[in-house]
Amino acid sequence: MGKRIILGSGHLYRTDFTPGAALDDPETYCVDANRFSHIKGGATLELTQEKQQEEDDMGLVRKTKLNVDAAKFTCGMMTIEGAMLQKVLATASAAESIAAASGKKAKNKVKIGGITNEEEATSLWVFHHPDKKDGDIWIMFVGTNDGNLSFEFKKDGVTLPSLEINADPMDSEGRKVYFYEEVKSAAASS
Amino acid sequence: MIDEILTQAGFVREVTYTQAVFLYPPPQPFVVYFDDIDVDGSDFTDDISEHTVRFELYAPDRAAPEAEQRIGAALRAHGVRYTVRSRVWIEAERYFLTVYEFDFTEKE
Repeated sequence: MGKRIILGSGHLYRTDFTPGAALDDPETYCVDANRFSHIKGGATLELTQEKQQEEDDMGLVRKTKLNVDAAKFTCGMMTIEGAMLQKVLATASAAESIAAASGKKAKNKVKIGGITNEEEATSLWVFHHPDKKDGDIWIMFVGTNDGNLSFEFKKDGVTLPSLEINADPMDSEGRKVYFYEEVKSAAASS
Repeated sequence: MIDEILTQAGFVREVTYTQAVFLYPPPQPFVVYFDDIDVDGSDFTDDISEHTVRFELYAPDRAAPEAEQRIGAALRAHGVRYTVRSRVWIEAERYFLTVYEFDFTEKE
């Protein structure tokens, strides 16, 4: 027990999700078509629980109740394309292809902004942490990007917009994260 | 980037500029450059290279200012922010030495 060492980053996958839909095995979603950016600087899953604790003046009785539970996933995106913006910005439109013409380059156009244009699809995310020694880990959750996106065009470095997803309840039990770990024991293969 | 800058400055690879050392230095002004590279990228790729470059311009007495001008102009034409060290005289080699240092980042 307790011999797993988590070392290293992982791959992020995303697909559209309809609330209430059945959830499949995480590996189902880990395909190239769902690959969402290349992560730089690792990823963080922060599980928060805020408890209210009441105790009598003499410290003889105490009761604790969970008031807030939250799960937040963050990572830096090293690769990003226009078509991805619609998935992480509430007001971004779908990418529109513009063919090359009259000496002008072919382009993808994404329109951004305007509160009335808010239309953000819910996404299912899977973060896959490969680990040949202790076994892979998959973290599956549903949610939209709640953070700001900053694009820096720097002379001496890459831009690294960050993704911040607060997980939504994704099943009838109100679960926010499914944590999967590969079982490498002989019993698992039998 | 290095080849482009030095070529624009009028130097010719392996004739008047080279990496690390000239075993038989040419009689005219020449550049020896050094290029330290830090490879970076996403957590699973190495597709960004961060270069720390040093040009060493060796020039006989009268040619030094003109060669320096050419290198400075080429660096500026490429939008490079650079540091140029004060020209020094190397008595043993009978050359002036002017050093340029700059960094740049490129992707694969």
